Amino acid sequence: MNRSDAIAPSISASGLVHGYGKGAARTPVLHQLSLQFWPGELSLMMGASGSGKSTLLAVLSGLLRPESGSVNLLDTPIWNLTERELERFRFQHCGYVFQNFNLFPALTATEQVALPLHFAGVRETQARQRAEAALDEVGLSGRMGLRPAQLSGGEKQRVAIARALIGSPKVLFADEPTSALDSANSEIVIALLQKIAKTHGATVITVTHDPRLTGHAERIIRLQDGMVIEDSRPNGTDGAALSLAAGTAATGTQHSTGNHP
Amino acid sequence: MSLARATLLYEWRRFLPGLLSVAFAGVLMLVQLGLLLGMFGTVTVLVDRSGANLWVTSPETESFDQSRDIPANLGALLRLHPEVTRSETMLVHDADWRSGDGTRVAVSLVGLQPAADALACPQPMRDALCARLAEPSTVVVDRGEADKLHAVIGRLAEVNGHRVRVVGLSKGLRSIGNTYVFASAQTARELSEPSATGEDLTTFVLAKTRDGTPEGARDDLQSLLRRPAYRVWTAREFSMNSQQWWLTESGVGAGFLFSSLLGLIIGTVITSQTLRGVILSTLREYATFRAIGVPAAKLSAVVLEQSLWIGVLGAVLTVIVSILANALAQALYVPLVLTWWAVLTAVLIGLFTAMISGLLALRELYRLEPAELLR
Ligand SMILES: Nc1ncnc2c1ncn2[C@@H]1O[C@H](COP(=O)(O)OP(=O)(O)OP(=O)(O)O)[C@@H](O)[C@H]1O
Ligand SMILES: [Mg+2]
Repeated sequence: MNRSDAIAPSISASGLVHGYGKGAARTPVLHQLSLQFWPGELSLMMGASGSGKSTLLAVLSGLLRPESGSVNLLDTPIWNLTERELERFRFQHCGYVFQNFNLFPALTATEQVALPLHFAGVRETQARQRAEAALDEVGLSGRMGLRPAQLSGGEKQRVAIARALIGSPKVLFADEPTSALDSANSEIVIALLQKIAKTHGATVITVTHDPRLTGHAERIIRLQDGMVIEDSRPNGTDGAALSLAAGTAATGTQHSTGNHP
Repeated sequence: MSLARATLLYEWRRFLPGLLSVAFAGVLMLVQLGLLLGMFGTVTVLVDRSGANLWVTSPETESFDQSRDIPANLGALLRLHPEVTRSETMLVHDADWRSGDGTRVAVSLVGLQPAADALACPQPMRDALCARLAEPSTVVVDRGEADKLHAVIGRLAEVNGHRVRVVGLSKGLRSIGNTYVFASAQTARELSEPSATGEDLTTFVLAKTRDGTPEGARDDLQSLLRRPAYRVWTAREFSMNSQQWWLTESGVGAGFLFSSLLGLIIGTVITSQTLRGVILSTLREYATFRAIGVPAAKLSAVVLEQSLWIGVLGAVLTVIVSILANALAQALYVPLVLTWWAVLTAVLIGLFTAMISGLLALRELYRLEPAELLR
């Protein structure tokens, strides 16, 4: 909120309400949730299991229509779009990274990364070049010809990140991208996501359980029972955030309830 | 690179059941049809192998083995047509065969002009056997029936109680419906039970036209002979009609359709389950691309390309196996007829089966909820 006067948020959600089930069986998950996100930042979304992190991410990323509330993604009220328009919007602006990598077993790393371009109708040679550049960026130049069965977990997730990057998305959503990885690989992956936020000026939202990752985030949001109980900036003096925020963001935590040091 | 082909190659074992079932359905259809055509083709062997291109039969006749007797002098009428160069008769009567050692067999006695160039003389008998029948009380039977008839060249036998001598064995004149015993028209008339009216009757009147297109002459003669009275066919028509009659009226055709359909349904089910299995095994990957915003239709194209490949490869396999089956059938003297149109039809049906299977499997893609990747 205190940053909004300085630079426009890339994601702005307000009054999000969602629950699963109907009538008496309904489990409320999101309670009147409002949040904003800014480009160039990696925001970590944390909270206990079942607190609604994945649900929130799905709503923010245009995959799950909330019962009420609105999401403005890059100034587009995405939940006013038709299904078809929303698909096109996601194709143009959004990247996704999931816990299970979700790579086609039959494709080499280069082919995995080039596939979204293939679906976009980009020519083969150009797609290949761009895929190789993306793999290079995630540090996998030496693994381009390998299939998922020949890659380590960390490498697979980096391939998945390269695939998410290939369309130059403005926003990148990651749900537990490191939970299948050991700590060293988790470290690599989260650092990579943070670097992407910086170098691409992308808005990166990552859901995680892992407290060790907090050092790589500009911002930490904690959820409990579908409500934000903490929204803090551990490295309040972060350069990128500072410059983007034109000074106002340096105050750090807001809404902090003190549950976490 | 195509996702469809890469997956096919990498996980070919997964696709194999679908491919095999498409191929199997095709082979089942082709071999059955081939056997049917081979079998029913023998019904009209005397039509197909004769030199005549016009046939006159009794009006109710639908198949070669059904004709009733008609006046032999219709031939004179046929010769009045300017296109008709020659005409002849062919007599086919049921008879009772008794070999020298007492074996009795119901046969069809065929009476024809005992000359090498006779219209009725079937092609395999032209070089020698037809002329040999000029000698009274001689008969020719097919090599393939010789065992059943206990017929040996030079030996005596009885037809309807009259003594005959076997003077030759023909080749390739076997029929599923009848066991033919060939004789001269004269001999056949003597061996037959005499007609009640004493009128000169025969079973078929055959003719040959000046050129190879008997349709005009057929139309003229048909209007002359007015249909309720007699039926005039081109040889081709008569042959086709007879086989079609066997295919549709005998119930065998229905059996063929039923089992082919069953093969196709099973093929479709197995193939669509195969494709479904492949989709299900990569459901998360497909869902990821749905999340990115790739329309379900584009993902469907991947599955349909795979179906098409299964169809093409299955069809190729069908053709290869059918050719092998054909060779085997030839070696074993099984009458199997593999026609190009049957193969083409089987190939097209195979492709169609595979595509339908693909379409059935697509349901899984359209049911995808990418939000379920976030849990
Ligand atoms: N498709 C669904 N149908 C019914 N209930 C659901 C569904 N998805 C999630 N829930 C429920 O909603 C609540 C929040 O789920 P969500 O997946 O958002 O939690 P989370 O914070 O991501 O948890 P975790 O850390 O375990 O992934 C949970 O209680 C869960 O049981
Ligand atoms: Mg979750």
